[in-house]
Amino acid sequence: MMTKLDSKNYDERQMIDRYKISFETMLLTFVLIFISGMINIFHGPWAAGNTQMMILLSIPTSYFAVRVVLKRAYFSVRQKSYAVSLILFGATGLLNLGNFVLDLMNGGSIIENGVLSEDLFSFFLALPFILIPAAYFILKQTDKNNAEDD
Amino acid sequence: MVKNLKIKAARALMDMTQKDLAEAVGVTRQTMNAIEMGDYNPTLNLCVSICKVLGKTLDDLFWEE
Repeated sequence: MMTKLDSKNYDERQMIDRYKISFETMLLTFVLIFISGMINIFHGPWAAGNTQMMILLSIPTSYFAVRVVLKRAYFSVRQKSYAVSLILFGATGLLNLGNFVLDLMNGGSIIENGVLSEDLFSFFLALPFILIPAAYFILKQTDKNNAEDD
Repeated sequence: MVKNLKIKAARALMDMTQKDLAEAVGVTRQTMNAIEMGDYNPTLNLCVSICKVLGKTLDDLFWEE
């Protein structure tokens, strides 16, 4: 159709919001890496190697995902149903969260030798996968409440 | 930004919902809603697409007196 925009996945408002949030996420990543580096230099390690990496990945990823979901810029224009994606995200998140809980029940701990333990890896891996469906659910509830107010 | 009631009126004349218009121009319904509410300033490309679908000119829909 001649009148359609060229964008394959996101419309122009979504693209602008995604650019803005990407920039904020980049700044957040820099700040977290800087803080982590400073702690490593002046205090020593604050988390087990893999956990430290996962925390520095998970927090910015979660921030980006939640912000774009709340700005309605996560799902593409062409995507008709979000249910499958949300269920898969939720299931992945719950599996990793379950892994974390099992580790704790089997004698694992959150802090080991004064630093965040390896067991927290699964928790931070689960974090973005759980927050995406949660943010979407909150958005839908807010829409529903606003519609009822109207 | 002020609300764009002209798009809403033109849409109503053609018996189109926000969703219909959004699909016709290839954007999300939320984007169309943001344009009508004055929360988002569309590009010229999108303005032209909206005008073509609604059979109006840019002046008809986007010129503020």
